[in-house]
Amino acid sequence: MSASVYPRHGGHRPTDSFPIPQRAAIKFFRTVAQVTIGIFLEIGWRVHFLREIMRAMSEPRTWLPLTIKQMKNIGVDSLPLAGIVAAFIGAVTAYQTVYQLFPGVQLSAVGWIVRQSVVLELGPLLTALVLAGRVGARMTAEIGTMRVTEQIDALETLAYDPIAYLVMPRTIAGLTMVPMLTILSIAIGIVFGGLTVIVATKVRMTDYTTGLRLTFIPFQVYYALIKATLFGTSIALICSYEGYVTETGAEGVGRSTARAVVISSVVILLLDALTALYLAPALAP
Amino acid sequence: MKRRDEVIVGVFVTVAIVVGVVGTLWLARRGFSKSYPMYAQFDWGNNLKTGQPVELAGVQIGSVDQVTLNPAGYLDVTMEIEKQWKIPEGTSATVQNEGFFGDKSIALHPCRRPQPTVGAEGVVPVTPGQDSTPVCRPNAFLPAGDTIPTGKPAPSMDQLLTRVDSMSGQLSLIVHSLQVELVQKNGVQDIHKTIESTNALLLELHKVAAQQSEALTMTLASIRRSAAALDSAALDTTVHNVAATTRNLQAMTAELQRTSSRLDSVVAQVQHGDGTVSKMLNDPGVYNELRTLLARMDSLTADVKANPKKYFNVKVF
Repeated sequence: MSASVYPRHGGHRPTDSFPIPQRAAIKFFRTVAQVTIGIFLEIGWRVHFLREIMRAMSEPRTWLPLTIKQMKNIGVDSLPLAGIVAAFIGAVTAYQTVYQLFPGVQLSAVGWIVRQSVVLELGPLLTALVLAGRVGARMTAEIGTMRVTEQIDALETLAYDPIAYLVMPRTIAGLTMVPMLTILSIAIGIVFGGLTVIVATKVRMTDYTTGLRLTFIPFQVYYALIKATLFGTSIALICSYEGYVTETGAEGVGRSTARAVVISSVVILLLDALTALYLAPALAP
Repeated sequence: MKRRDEVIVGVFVTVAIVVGVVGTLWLARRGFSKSYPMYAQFDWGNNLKTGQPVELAGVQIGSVDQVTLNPAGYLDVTMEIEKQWKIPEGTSATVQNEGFFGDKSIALHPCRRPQPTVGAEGVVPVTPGQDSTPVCRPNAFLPAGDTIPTGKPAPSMDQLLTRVDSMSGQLSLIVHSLQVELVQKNGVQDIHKTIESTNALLLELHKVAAQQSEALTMTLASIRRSAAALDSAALDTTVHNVAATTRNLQAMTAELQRTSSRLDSVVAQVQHGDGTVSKMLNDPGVYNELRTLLARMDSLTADVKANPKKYFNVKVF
């Protein structure tokens, strides 16, 4: 598969060649048509890309050996950054919450608010956004560079399926490792939140743990895992695709990388909203 | 691909899964301490939720595990009680407020402990309460899985608000009455007049007190002048003389007492003694003899007067 499969511009008769009274209307309709076609074209290319991935799943001998390396890149190597982010989020959330409580509110509310914030929202979302920057950008740059240096064409020449070779390991790694990272981030956030308020404020360990357990149902953890799985898969697919369709030159790689980070971040936020919309009612204790 | 990567990824995934499973269980099971279930039924609308604490006499011993809506008008509540705690027989369960914002917990009110043995060392006797809480039987506990009877519930926030509302209504009535009495019926003016009268009275009293004070001052000054006019030396001499007189009087009194006592003894001797005087006073024979003697003396005297020469024969030379 080459870049020519996804042409971005079609040839049209120039607007200037039409009679003047018709030009404004033609220009308007052409713009509308181009935007509409562009939207559907983008969707179509991505669906086509997904179909290619489905097809590539049938070649585990190509992608399975490479998956472990990607899992290490995405999961293990991202743990320090994700852990630092989670620790600060948990600590700051807990510390700020203590000083928002007015008299009459139990101190266990701190544990409850930290758990709800970190488990339901901050843990999965911020881990995914951090990974979109760290892992997604790297993914797009790697695949994009291979595209512009024609290594992908070389793979095709050698009868390797570039999707199975490049995209599948990253997708599987994103799908599995982002939930793992999210679990560890949540745990780190809750632990550091507790340590902070126990050491620095009048909140006691009993208050914090009581709040952590208050109205807890296991579905809250499943909810976070569902989100993390969706986010990880999105990061891998979007960033791989943007790298795969990179246009020529170093500038093209940079543009694709920036575009991948922006799109994956926006998609993560949209998916976050959608999951909340559909699954949040099930979170009621 | 290196073998080391596989090991690292394996460790990472294993740790993440263990943390996820253990953490979820820790939160869901309220820790890893062993527990047993207990049940209770409460009325609807108690705002009970999973994870809320269960307290026995104020000490947390477990938490709410499950709240099921019973169509008969109850909430069937399952509580997980930590294995180390036992619930005494006679315990009742109520839903109580935690804080001001609708937080709830289940309070288990245990039976009263038996009256301590009087005189037991280190035991402070406690006056038994007037409540109807049953007295604990020694070593009698509710079995695991039993249903704890429901006690009288604490007033809910709504009930408290209703009471506050009724109190504020009564307060507004009082304020209204005060307004009617004080404003509309010129009560304030009356109060003003009363205060003015009181002030006038106080002024009068002040004047009287001032006059009395002046008179008192004058009296004191006069007394001081009189006191100053007294000759202290003469006064001392007079006091000394009075003291000497007093001493003399004391000595004289003592002398009189002694004399009196002597007279007493003389009189006693006269009355009861055997002396001449006593016999003269007490013996009628002596009296008669004396009369006889006197009669003879009279006759003798008469005879002497009549016949002096019979008795006196004066011869000169």
